[in-house]
Amino acid sequence: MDTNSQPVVFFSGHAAWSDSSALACLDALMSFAVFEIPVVLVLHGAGVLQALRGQDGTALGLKTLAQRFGALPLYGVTEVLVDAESLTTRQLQAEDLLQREDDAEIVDWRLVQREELTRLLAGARTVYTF
Amino acid sequence: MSSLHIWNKADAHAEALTLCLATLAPGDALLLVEDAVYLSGEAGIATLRAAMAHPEGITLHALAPDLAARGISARISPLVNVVEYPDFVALSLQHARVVSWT
Repeated sequence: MDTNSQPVVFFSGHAAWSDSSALACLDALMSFAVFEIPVVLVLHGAGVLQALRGQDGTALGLKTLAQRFGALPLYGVTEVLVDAESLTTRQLQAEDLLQREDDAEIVDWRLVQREELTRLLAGARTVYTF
Repeated sequence: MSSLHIWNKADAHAEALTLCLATLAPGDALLLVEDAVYLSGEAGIATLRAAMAHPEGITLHALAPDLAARGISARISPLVNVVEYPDFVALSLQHARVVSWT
């Protein structure tokens, strides 16, 4: 396989408000994407909460990280993978994630099973976890 | 195109570890370092293997200095390979990628 066509895969497993890792993950991903390196973002564990509707960082005097998902298409990232089991564990569904009516520029969320993540890992150029 | 996966916490039920174990593919290796070596005993390894989709195809390793520091070198499952730092480097080179789960 041509290494240049293999994606750099980012696993983001922390909620937006606990520490800076969710933001760091998006910054790192955008840094790769701006150089047109193929990237894939996977939200898993508490990381799926980054995509939840209705978040408002101004309540804490902070920016809302979820708004950054609307910027990803500018970097050529049009979909984000969401670990379906992590959603189910939290009694969440796809409808609970940010929708176009919330943000017209938002990425597409694609729920994935773990078998697909296994294949994604096997084809990755590099894997980063946050 | 196998992967070396690294885990460093004692919690066998952490979500990141659960995801790691579920996505291990035959030929992959799991290296336990730091507090994760507490999972190297028979009970811990049984728990880890139960969460794997393909337990037979996965090699298990634990870092010797971390075992020695914690006084558990003699309590290791026979399924675990005890490795030194040079082996850690060799494992990194044997696999196509290294995934340090957090």
